[in-house]
Amino acid sequence: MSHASSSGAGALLKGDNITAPKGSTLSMGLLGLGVICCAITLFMAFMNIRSEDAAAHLTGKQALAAFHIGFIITLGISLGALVFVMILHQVGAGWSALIRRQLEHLMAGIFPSVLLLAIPTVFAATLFVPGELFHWMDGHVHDDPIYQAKSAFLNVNFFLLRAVIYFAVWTGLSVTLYRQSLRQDATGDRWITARSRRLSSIGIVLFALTTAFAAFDWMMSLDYHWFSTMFGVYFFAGFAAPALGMLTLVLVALRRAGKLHGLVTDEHLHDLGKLMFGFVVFWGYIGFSQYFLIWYANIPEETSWFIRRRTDLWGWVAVALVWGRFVIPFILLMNRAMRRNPAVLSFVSVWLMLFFILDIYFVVRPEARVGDDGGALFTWLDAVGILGPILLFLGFLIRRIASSPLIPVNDPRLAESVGHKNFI
Amino acid sequence: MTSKSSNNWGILAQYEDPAALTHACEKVRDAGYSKWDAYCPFPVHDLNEAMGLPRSKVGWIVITGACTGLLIAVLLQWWTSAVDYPITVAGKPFWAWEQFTPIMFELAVLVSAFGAIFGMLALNGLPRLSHPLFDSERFLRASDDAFFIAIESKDARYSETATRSLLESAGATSIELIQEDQA
Repeated sequence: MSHASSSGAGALLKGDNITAPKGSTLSMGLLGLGVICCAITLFMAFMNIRSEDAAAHLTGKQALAAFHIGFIITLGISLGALVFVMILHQVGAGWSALIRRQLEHLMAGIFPSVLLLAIPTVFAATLFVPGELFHWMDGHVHDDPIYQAKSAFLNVNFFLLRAVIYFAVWTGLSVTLYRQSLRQDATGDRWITARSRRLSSIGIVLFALTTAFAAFDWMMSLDYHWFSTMFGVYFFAGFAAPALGMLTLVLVALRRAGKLHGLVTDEHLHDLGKLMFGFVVFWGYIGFSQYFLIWYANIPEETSWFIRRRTDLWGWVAVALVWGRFVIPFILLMNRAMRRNPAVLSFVSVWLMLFFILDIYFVVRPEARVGDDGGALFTWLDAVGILGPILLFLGFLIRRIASSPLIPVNDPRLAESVGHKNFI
Repeated sequence: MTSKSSNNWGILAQYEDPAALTHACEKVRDAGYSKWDAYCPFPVHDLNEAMGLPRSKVGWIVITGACTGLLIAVLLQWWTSAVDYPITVAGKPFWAWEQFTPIMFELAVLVSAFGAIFGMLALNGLPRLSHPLFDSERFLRASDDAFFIAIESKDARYSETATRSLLESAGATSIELIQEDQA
């Protein structure tokens, strides 16, 4: 590849152009606000959740569910970044060498940020207030024949063991890939690329299993009567496009700050736009397939989950998801000129993130109820509870972005990525 | 018109490599020619811009096909299942978007795929059994290792001498006059 730009690229690949500003005020502000939001939510959750008063009890459950949603969002974004890093390694992608570092920053959020955010709902709630978030942990349901049939899988010890395994796998993969990439910056050892590729080939398989089972454990089991074998894929399809959107936002923000000039061009953003378009369609396909099979088979155990989500106000949320997560971004990203426009792409990225949150909200929040009473569809505590983990995640992300060069400076495929062009 | 010029289909010029081809295409484009084409054994980056080609119109044919397929699917299923011959199956409603969506999707994809294939063929003027360029021995290498520009004599700006010197000044390694098909 002998592009005209590669001759002038040497100057672009140095110094200020590939170093992020410290941004310490912004990151400290986000972290401070995030800590306050998390503290309020968890205080409201654990103070109220054992209350005899039904209204207070419900508030506690809702607060815990809101925090859980925020945690799942940060988990989804980092897992999306992890799997794309592994896919790019595995296929030997050249075009993406310049943007891989920012995906790695997102991926590195798994440890320790997302692991810390898992503690309140996955671990603490299970150990100290069992049955409040995951209803099946309540001793009262243990006479339920449906629970008994699933109890070999759905029991607290195995649940906690699985959570430890998931985080061990994700942390192992993301920390290793991140460290190897940074080591290549320092040493220029080309064999690191081959090692990362080899790790990714196993990593993708481990990722698929752990992500699917984590979705079963942490979202599907909230209603332990219900099951959908494609729920794991539904979670993956849900976070793939918003994770790419997050990457797009980071890249556009860095370009706005005068970084990556002449390196990350509209051509790279165009490719991200194509991938986002693809995963928007994929979510529509998986979301419809899951609903359609349950609708057609009409088995009470399966339909109850959707009936709850198609009655009253939740029915409108379901309609909003169809339009907001599929139809509107599908139309916005269909046109080539739109996919190449950084402003449109940023708008779609924020849009997809908001609807990803609504999607997880739609899955998790209806299960926060006392008896059959779910209370208000949305309260201020939901906003605070969801924002807390996300703000903490973003605060740590900004610090990480400033901690290393903005591109993998010694990646052997860098020259292929500089001056990358789309045929169509 | 003299018999000689009516026999002349156009000029074929050969170039050394993709860079020379791209550069020559820019010159031909800037000279204002419209009935011409470039030939190379593999896709060359930026050639579309160098030739000044507009965006392909196939996309519009495809989306028209998709909308047509969607509409046919809705009408077909609505008419057969809900109007003309309603049958109760598993207690499902006669009309429900859920059960009609797979067919709507499939027909939209089918008709847009037809649109893509046949639209592309039509816009390319295919199928076509023969082409004057196939008489050129040299042109066989267009599918192997050589890069060509051909300008047709039908072009308003075409003149045997001026066009030839344009292509030569753009760095052609060889120039050949191409005759119309004899048949």
